[in-house]
Amino acid sequence: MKKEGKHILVVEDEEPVRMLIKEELEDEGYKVSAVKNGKEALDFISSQDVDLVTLDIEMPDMNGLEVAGKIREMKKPIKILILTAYSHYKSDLSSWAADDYIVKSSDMSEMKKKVKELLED
Amino acid sequence: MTNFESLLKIFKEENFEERLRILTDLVREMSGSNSICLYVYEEEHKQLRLMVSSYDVRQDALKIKIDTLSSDLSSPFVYNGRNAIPIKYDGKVIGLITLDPDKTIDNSTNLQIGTILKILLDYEKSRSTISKLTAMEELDKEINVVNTGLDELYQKVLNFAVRVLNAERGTIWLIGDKELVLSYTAGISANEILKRRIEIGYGMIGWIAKAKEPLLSTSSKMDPRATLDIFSFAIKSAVGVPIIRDNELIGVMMLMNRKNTDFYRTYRHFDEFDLSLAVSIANRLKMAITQIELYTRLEKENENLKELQKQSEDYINYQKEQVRLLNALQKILQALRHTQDMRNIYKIVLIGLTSNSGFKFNRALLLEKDEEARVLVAKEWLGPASENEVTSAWQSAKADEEKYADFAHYLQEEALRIDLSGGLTAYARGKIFSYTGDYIFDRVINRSRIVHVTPMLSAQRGEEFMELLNLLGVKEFVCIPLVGRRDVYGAIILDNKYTGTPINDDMIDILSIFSESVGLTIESLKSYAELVEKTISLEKQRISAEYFKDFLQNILENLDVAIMVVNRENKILEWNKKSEELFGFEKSKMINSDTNILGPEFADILTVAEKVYDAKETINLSDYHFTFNSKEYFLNMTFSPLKEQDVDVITGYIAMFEDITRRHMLEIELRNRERLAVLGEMSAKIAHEIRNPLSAIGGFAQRAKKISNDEKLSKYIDIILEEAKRLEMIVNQTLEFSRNDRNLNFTFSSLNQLVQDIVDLYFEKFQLQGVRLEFEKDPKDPSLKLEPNHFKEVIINLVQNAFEAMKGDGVIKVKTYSDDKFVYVDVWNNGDPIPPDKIDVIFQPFYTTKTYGTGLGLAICRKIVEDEHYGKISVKSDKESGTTFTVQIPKDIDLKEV
Repeated sequence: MKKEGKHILVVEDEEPVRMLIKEELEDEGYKVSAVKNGKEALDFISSQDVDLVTLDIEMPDMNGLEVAGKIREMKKPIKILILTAYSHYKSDLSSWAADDYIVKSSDMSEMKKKVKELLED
Repeated sequence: MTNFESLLKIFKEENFEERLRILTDLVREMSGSNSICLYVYEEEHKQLRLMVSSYDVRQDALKIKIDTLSSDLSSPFVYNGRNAIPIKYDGKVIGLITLDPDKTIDNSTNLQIGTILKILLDYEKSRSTISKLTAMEELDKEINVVNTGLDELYQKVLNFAVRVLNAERGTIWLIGDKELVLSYTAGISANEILKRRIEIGYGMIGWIAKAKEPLLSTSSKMDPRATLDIFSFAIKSAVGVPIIRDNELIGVMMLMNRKNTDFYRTYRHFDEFDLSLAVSIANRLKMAITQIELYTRLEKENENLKELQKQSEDYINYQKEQVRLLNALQKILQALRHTQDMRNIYKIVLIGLTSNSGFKFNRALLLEKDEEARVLVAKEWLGPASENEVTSAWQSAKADEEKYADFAHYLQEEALRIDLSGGLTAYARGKIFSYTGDYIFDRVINRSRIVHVTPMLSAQRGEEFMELLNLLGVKEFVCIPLVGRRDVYGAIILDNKYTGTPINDDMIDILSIFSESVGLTIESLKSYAELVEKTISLEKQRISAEYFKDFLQNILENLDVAIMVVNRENKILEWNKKSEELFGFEKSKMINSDTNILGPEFADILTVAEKVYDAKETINLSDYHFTFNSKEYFLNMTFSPLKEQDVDVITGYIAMFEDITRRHMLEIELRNRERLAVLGEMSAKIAHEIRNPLSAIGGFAQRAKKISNDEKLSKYIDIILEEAKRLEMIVNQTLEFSRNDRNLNFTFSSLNQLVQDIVDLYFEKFQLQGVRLEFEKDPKDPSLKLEPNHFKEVIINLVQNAFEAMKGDGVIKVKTYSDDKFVYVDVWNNGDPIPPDKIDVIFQPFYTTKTYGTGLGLAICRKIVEDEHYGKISVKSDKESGTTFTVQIPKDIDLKEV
């Protein structure tokens, strides 16, 4: 399990949450970058290698789904993890660009688990 | 000389006076007297008239009045120194002879002389009588009464009188206006006449007229009756007679101055004989006049009689013709009665008018009235088209007529056979004449008068109807109206162009009868036709009315609105099926019952209904909460006044009850749900907003705990973490609650019913915006296990989306259908289509084109349909066919996951 060298990009508009996620993931040993909106995210991705992106849905300008869509258009091998406040969109994932989703919560363990899973294959 | 020789000598003489002279000579000889005078005794004058004298006698001694003599004439006496010897016969004195004083004759000679004298006198008398008779005979011959006119008569008679009486001059004066007018003369030249007119009583002539007696004036100079101022010649003697007929004086004939003929001594004047002759002549004249007048009168009478007879004949002929015409008219009417066709009617009329057995006009032109355009239109013209055709046309017509015994029969057949479209009709067809203000047609059409245009009228006023004159080409014609009781239907113009026969007043009289009879017949036929038409139309109307009534009844019964019709007496007139369903009363019980049969609960409603009578317009009550038979209803009520057609009287009211109970309930439910939904949304939004900060709080608290060494700090952080967790749970629950996910309750439901509920909910709302919401129900009405609330939410969502896609007027169609395995619901709208690249994306959560809403609608729908009901939701959208969302749900859901 190579955690090293995996570059995660966190896309979150609210600063405390952004900071929290970044720090939690950095605790896990990943290289974590954070941007605050979709545009910055796309710019970032096009210039740097990223292995996984966490996307908040509720963002001004571009929402997470749109970003996910655009990331997919770029055809880069990037895993997408959606962070949502809603707990009931599991089944929708199948048609989405995202690979998985988690419900936002103060408990970061679920998120860490999902990230690990996604980066493993 | 012997006595016989002497006698012979006497009678040889022609003349009375000569005979007397011979006698006198004989007597002188016998008596030896130198001188002798012979007098004749005139009894009537009692005088002795000197007839013969051997010497000149004084004028005044020509007559001797007896009473001047001293002698009684019984014996000879002395007279003027002479011996006067009376001559007697049969004892009577008949004459006197005077001799020289000393001479005498003896008695026997006296007797002989007396006898001879008597014979001579008698002979003379006879002769005069004979001559009178002869004269009269002659006169009779002269006057040939038969061939003589009065004028000629007078003149002839005068001429005769003058000749026979030997008058120099003669006159006939005739009575004229209380005076005598000189009318005929003989032997008088014009310049000898001084007066041509004299008064009755003036002069001798006037005297005769006055006295009505004949006059003999032997010495007119002395005659006091004579006047000198009538003629310029001297009247010496005159004889005049009145001409009297029937006691009336016609005139006077006067002869003047006897001619000197065989006188040897004195001038002769008219005598009694002449007078009596004149009287006879006058008589003859009178008779002749009478006869002539009689003849004249007779002739006149005869002529009168002839005239009368002719008139009589004429009159009879006229009557005959009138009768014939009336008969012809009768036949025409008879033929008309057997005809229904208007065109044939006109033909019969025209043929009847021009036929030889009919009215015998040369030509007849028919004009029909066009009421709307107010004109007369020339339709048909019957008659020979030109001179050339006349003979042949009439011959063939006559031949045709003769084939039929009955004129009416001929008319009917001929009308069917004849074709009037060519020939004469061609000249007139389609010609239009206005009848207002037109000289002829105004009278004919507007005043129903026959107008007879004579050649004189044509000449004087032809300009006023020039067009007609030009068309007809005749100077005389007659125009008759076809007039019924109610109206004038047209006119016919008749003329005799080819024969030139004038149209007389009797014909006009008959034509007026014709015009009315035919007019009435046309009218009654038209009325009959109208009647038939009306009857057919009424029948049609009745049938369609019946159909309509059934149709309306059908609608009424099947209407989803309860209808009750009540009249002013509060009797229920109508109660439809929906009313039965809604209120539970059977129609048969309700009809004609009083409204109080509805019960006390209806009281308020009825009170409102009756307000319609005052308001005179419709009253609406919406959302009326009504409790009836322990059931609660929500009703929309409408009360309309019931009026009879075209009459402004309200005879009752129509009450309509729309049961909106269920809808009401649904609306309440919806409102609740909406409230909840809003609440839910708000909660969700709040919860949502809280979530991030909560995560941050919790997350950082945990990180803080990790790097904290302080126990107390750790404890505090634990508390923070716990509270944060608590909050998070609340947030989660809130979000879940707002989703209503807990109420998942699957039941066996009617698909149509669920959809219907939604349609009901939105129908009016949409209608107000101009959007029509239609629902096509699956006739199979399938029922299946569904989560009714969630399913409805899907439909609501789809319908609302469709509505919002409309942006204005339009239609949204909802359709349910099914097959063996699945049920389907289509929601179609014709708003803008969804772009093809968005078709997949729209079901994604938070995809929205709206500025409001969560964008979760279709995502939720998909979850419900696909996750909960194991169905499928899809969409088809393009410009031509609109946008259709299809929900497909399997009929048999095994709740276990497949």
